[in-house]
Amino acid sequence: MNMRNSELPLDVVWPRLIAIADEMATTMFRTAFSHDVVEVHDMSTGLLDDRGHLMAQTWLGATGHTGCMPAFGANLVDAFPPETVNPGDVFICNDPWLCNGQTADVFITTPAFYEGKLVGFAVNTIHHVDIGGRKGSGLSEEVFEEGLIIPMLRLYDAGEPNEMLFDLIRRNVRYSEKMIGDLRAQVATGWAGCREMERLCDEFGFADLKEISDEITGRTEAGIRAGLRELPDGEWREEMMMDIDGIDEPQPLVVSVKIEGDQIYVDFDGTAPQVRRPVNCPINFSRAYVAVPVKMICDPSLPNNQGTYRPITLNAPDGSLLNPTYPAPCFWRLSAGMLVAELMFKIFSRIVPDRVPAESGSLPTWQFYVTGNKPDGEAYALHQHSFGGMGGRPGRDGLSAVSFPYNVRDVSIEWSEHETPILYHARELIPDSGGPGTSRGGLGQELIFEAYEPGTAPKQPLVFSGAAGRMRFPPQGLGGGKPGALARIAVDDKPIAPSSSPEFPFKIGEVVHLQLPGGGGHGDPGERDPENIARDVKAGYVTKEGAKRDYGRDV
Amino acid sequence: MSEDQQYRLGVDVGGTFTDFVLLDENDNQIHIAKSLTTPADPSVGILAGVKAFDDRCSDHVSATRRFAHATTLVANSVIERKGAVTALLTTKGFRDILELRRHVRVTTYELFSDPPPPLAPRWLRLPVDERVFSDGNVLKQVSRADIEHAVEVMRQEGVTSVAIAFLHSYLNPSNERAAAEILQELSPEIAVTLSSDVLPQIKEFERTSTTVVNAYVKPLAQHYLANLDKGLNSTGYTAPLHIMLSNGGLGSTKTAGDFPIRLIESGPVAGAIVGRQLAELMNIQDVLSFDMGGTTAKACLIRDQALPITDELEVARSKRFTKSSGFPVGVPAVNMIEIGAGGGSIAGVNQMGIVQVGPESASADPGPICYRQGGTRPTVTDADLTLGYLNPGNFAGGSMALDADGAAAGLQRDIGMPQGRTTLQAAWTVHDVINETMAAAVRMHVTERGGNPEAATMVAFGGAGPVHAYNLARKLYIQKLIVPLRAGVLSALGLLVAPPAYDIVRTYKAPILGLDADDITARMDAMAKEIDALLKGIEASGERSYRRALDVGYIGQSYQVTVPLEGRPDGESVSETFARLYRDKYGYFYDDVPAEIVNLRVLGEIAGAGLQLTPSESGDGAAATQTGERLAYSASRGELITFAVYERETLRPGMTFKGPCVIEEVTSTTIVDIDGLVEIDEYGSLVVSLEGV
Repeated sequence: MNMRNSELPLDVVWPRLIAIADEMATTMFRTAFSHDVVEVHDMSTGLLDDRGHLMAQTWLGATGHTGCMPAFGANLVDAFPPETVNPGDVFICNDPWLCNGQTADVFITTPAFYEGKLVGFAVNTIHHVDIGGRKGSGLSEEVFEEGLIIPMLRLYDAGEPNEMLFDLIRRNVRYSEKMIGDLRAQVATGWAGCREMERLCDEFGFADLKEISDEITGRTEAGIRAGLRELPDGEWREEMMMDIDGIDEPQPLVVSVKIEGDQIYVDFDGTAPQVRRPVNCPINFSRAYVAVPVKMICDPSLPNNQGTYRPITLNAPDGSLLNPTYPAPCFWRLSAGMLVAELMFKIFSRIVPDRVPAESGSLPTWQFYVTGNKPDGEAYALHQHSFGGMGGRPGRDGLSAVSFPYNVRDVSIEWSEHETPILYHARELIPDSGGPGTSRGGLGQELIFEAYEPGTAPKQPLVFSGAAGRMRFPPQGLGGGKPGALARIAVDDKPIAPSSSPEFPFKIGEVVHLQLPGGGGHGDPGERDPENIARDVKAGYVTKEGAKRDYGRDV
Repeated sequence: MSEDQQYRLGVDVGGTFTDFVLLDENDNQIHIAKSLTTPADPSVGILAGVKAFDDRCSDHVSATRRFAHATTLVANSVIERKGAVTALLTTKGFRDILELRRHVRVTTYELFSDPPPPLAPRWLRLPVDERVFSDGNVLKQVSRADIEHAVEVMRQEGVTSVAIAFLHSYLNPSNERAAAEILQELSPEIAVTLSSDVLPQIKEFERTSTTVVNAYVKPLAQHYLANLDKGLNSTGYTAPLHIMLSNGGLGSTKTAGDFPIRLIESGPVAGAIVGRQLAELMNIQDVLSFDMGGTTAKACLIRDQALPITDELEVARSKRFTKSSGFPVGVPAVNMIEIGAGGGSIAGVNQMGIVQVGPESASADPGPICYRQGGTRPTVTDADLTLGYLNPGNFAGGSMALDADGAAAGLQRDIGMPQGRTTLQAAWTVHDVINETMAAAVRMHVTERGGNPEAATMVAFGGAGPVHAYNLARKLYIQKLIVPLRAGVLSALGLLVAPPAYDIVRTYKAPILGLDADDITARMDAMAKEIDALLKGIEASGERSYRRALDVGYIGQSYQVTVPLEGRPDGESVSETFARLYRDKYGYFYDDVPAEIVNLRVLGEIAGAGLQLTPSESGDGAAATQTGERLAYSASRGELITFAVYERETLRPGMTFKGPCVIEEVTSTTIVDIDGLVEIDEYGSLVVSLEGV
């Protein structure tokens, strides 16, 4: 099977392309300002060929970013056909419908030239510390409230910075020093990637990268297709309900899947219409979370690139929660978008239950801001990612409080307390929150915090806003496994109504409790190894009462 | 110490072998010996092994002046999970910091790739009601009742070592100390490690992890060092035992026993020390030290002749060589990379349908196919042999006849056939792919350091280093390559040239403008005093030197540069130096963003006698004599061509010759392609210029 292109030096070039993307990530970490990049890794880097096809990505980076790159590549070459691209150009865009589905994620793209000819693009994205607007409000009704929208534009024109655009951005965002610093880091990252792409062409005498690109994306595609072929043909449909602020009835997300040979058709028909709350998920992000489970189940081993997406055909009704139309608000699109991944896992669990975890409390990720003012009036914002438990896996417990299938890190407690006057009382796993099963669901976690009075402006309330979920519908078990614990948000023990984009004020002295959901159990709890139950009780993952109630055992 | 004492002894205990190097300071002769490591008690192997010198230097026991010891014991006992039953006292509400690992998974798309389970299980992570805030204020004193309860649990569970890691203790250690005091009072026999002693730096997961690893290995390390010390004394050694620390300095057995975490890189660091020493001797600004052995390769960019230090290490990775899959260990260590690439790295075709080499290794046992010791899968050494780079009849000085046919057959079976290539193409692919793997890792290492590989001179050593150096240098656009004499065993010499040294890093956050010079000076004085006490434990006399520095970064940016301090800190001059260093490192700097101090650093060392390279005997203008020729693979030509063969022993300073050539010596072989020019310098080193690269 490899004979066809044995003359291509793929053994060296494929790893090299990935190494270039990794090196870009390293450049970014070294030069970026915001904690979200350097500590959280809410970023990604990649390489596109001159047709905008994704060839390689860094092994690091958030799946929501990486999964949007193929769509972004197509939009990029639409906006800037090759004949209009010049050496020294740098392109910028954060339009949610062209990029990642959220204004805070800004794409920077830099064309690479070899012997005067466009060979490809280095692309990178960062979740920015601010992009203006209502600071991630959970109540936005239109995208205009979510900050500056930058269409596909030149940030540099043949090497000359577009100072007007820099000025415009600077005037529209909070913490503009950091934000502009991160933009500069993205530009440096792009240059680093281009330099290495040009060298690669020089070293191997490639006039362009199309042939290499087709070969490696073809192999990744073949890996996915081989995985699909192993699955039986058939049609499946799954539905999940989502709580949306301001709407009494929970709203459905629907995914239908048809597998035919090595092709997979995915349809969102039946999904609720878009809403005037920022939980609508633009198509690029929805597609990313169709692809992540397909990759995890069909072929996790091959590097991700354009090839992953080719066997997938997606139909999404316009104007729905999973394919909203401009100007729908979408800042917390991960609340709906990540449930797409869960729906895909649910469908796979019916096809190959022995390869799929039960439902995960880590879907969706809870990403939130706590904003307020210090006594001198200076504004601050705590930005945090937090995670519930992964579903129990065949033969193995789910991981507790883990970034799955996303892959980012939290901000440390100490750093948070340094940057903001927030005092945490706890960040700890919640006993009995993992769904009982032969393999137990991962535990959810609890975050408890309040304002540290001496550091906070008196009489001004703080505001919590962010993405959340599973406050009414817990993560379900699989194959006889039981659900994980429900999520809950409370201020001084007064619970907040279920929502996928909660926003509420709280005062000095009031304590906020976030309880993130546990993962569902996998398999009949009665089949769980008694030694594991005893160990769970000893560790406090499960209480004695829980062991009796859920497993029928006295420990 | 009497005048007659004249030896320096270095002992490096590795996984398979223990290496011994003995330097006679009178005539600068270096003696080398090797013995099998005795894993159950490595001191047994050491005490037996040193006897090998009895013949050559009869007085070496009584006349050894310095005894330096490197060991992989600490790293291995974490990897093999052979440490103590360890408990962790945490701030109440935060007992899962260690397990949560900042929530990140090991790989993005794999469902079953998990991090290693924490060294302290949840039932031994015991919460204590107490709290310090980020302004250093104690919000709550330590609860004695909670510690009494913890002691009960630890007794029941047979805990012998305990880590204490409370929030914000890097700012105010008083609660950790109070807890330790109560603990010692209730349970005096237990070993205690405080996070504020081990790693007084912000970020609770990394600090807690470091503290727990230290606690985990502490009883074992103390026991081992005490045994070894006793054994050496009974054998007649009077020289104090020094232990190689990860930062490239030597420490006392007391330091090593209190902070065994500082020994994580004790073994691998020696090569970088040699690289630095050579950079200084030859006065080279940027050296890329490249040390390739049987299982791994190590590389280290040494700039301005100073060992680079990092606080970001990981140990016991669940997925080899994958970041975030191990336990973070944040103590100062030489910033080097370790790559799963060596002569024993196994080659095959992976799921991508392309050739992959390493990180899996045939190691010494069963070894490469050509060693005829039972190895069946082709390795880098097999490829190097097939390419004509190694001499089957003169490997390791002729002590081992290599099986060239077996090597070629293995390559053909596992690479050539499935890929539709000739055996030669298969061999070249293996050589090229392992070089690519190393080049990618080196580029990343250099990028992280803000450096430029093209500007560096590569210094290559280790058994496989000089075989791969030339083609690796080409990939990195490096134009100058140096292969010192005795390249194959050079890294062990690092033990002999390392100075006794210790460094302390403390978090101290303050803007540069308006910095409090008195406060900083007082804190650094205290740190220097601590170091002085530690150095006294190593050597009572000897000239001390102290270096002070500030880690400075833009406010909000997470990366810093280290700004050396001369005397009292002054905001303006710190700013200027910071701007200069930042621009040097990253190529630009921001004049509109304020900078801040993040850490205080103090390094103290006792001036060590460095390695003296002995000038080689001059050749008096004679030309180099070619001793033979053989076919070998030229990367430039893409085919087998005739390479001239030289014997290293016959080469003298001043000789020059052109590639393509192979230079053979007992411990290694150097390959130079057609575009290389070789010159022998005054120390007998090969200095290779890569032209047109």
